[in-house]
Amino acid sequence: MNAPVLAVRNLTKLFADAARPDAMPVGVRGVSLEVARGEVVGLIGESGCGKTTLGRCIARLLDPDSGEVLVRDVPFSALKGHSLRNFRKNVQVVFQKPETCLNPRMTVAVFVREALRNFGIVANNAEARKRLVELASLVGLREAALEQYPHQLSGGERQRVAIMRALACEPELIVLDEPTSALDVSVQAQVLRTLKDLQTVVGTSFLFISHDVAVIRYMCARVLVMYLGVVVEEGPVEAVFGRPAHPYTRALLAAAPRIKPRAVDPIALRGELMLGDVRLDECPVRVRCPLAHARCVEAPPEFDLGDGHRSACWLSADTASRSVSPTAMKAAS
Amino acid sequence: MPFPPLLRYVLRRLAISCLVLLGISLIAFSMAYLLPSDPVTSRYPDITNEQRAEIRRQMGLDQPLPVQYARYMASVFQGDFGKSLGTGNSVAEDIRQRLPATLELATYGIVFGLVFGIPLGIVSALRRGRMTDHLLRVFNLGAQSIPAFWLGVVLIFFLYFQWRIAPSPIGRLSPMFSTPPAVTGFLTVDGLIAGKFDVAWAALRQLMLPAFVLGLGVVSPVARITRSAMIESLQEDYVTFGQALGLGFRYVILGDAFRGALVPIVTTVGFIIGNVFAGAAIVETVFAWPGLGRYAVTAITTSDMAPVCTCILLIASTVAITNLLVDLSYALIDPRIRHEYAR
Repeated sequence: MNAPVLAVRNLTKLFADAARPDAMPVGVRGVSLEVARGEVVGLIGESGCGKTTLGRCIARLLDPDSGEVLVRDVPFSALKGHSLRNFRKNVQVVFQKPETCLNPRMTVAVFVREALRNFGIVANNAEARKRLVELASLVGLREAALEQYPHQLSGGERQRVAIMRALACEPELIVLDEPTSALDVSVQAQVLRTLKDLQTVVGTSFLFISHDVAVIRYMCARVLVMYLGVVVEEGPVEAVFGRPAHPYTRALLAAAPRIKPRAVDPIALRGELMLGDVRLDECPVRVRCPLAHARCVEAPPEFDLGDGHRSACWLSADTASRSVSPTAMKAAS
Repeated sequence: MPFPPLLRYVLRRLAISCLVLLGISLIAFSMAYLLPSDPVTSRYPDITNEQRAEIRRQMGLDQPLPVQYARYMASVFQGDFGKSLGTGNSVAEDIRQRLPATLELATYGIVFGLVFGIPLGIVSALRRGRMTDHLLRVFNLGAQSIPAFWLGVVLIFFLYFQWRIAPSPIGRLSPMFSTPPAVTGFLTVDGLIAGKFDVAWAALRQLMLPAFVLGLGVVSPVARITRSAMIESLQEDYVTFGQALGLGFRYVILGDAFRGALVPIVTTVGFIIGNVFAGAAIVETVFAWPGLGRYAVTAITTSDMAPVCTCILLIASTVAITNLLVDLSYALIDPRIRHEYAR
């Protein structure tokens, strides 16, 4: 396979709490990931684990403290000024709240046309109109909605408009930051189905951020599990969710409601996340992990469990083939 | 429904404004009546008590307040605002002569205030917390703290007496020029229409200082509200969305963020317009500007109550109409409000 659409190398972006300068800064710590062309990668984790920060750094809405973001081998994170602005169309974002990400003072057509016009994707109004209708049918939006204002649309329709605008400039990658979590469950299903169909038609890569196991399972081929700014487990969805190797993933799966009895033996994390308890050089999950033991005072590297399934837990070293991938070691150190 | 909803809304607002104006006229009139100064004594200081009583009777001042008010309002509705004791003309005539001067001054002042205030606010919001923002804040604080009468006098002293940059503060146009035929009442515009560019230029130079002093009071409130409204709207997701798309400054900052900030800005400007007309009195006095403000000040100091009442009514009407226009402009700015009105 040729160059990945997105490669994130050792990206760090931390936010210190101004009120408590001694507390551990939160954010993203040395995360690396790759998204291949046409691939849908999930990013799952609890609130505050840094998944949105990571998404925003990838879209250059935030500047990372260190590390780099490569889009088709172009160092997106190093671009500046005009070249940055022109490159932005390759990476698009769909935000969580559809009610705030649309300009309430523009009709859908005007709002989306801005994106089309800006990069000269369309030459004139007639062509723009044609493209708008195409895009609308692609995201399952009725044509009449083009002439309406956001407040006249339903939540699902608004999110379709946001997806439509992100799609308008034909990006290589769309970062979907919890695109359905603000929607009703029934609408969620419709929007997810649209997204999935859309993805197979246009072949754009997705980085799908969510805290919902079921949504990730439905949408993604590969998943990364984040906890407190680091990736604790990653791999194909069947492997990670079917044979979770990391205690945090197991707890996450155990916390998700399911109708059928779960195959994995459930464990639960202790207490709540207290930033003051976590020390930097140890495993971030240690304080809350029911399986924590002596080795956990040292931060574990990522152990390769085969087939791209990796887990950053000392215990997975015992269960796995014990082959430690050198790149993973380097990333974790 | 006999009227379209928006028109109904306008009519309802106009009706309310009329009630407000009626109330204001009552207050203004009673104030004039209750003030201890006697217009007859201040006009004719050396008359006997019998003469005074006779004049009072002739002027209808011996009647009870409600009767006087009813008479006054009856004549107001016929377009007769009484007679100014000071000028000897009818108030309507006096105002017709002076209104264009004030309107021209206020227009230039407000335009100056907006042209500087809005960009300053936008720059402050974009450079929030940086040096530029702090410097602009200091400038705003200064601009707002300096009283207009002091600044006016200082500017006249330095720019006219000392350095001879500004023309002498003797009103709208120096007597060296003949006034161009009135079309709009704005000397700068009338001069251009008449093709007398030297007259227009001279009128503009006369306007420069008073409009600057009046406009400086507009700059800082406009800059402050623009800054805070822009900071808020810059944090909107749709602005971030535009940035992520790589849209240019014109789209993201002016199209998305500034449009989002426009409602509070227009509201503030609406308030300010009322203030400007009231504040014009001071500036006009300092610069010997033959406008309404100075007319009102002279009338107040001589207890010439007919012009005072009329000026109060005029300023109140300006405020009422501005507020109505501001409310209606919301509908233009924001389609959500437009649909709300239409409901």
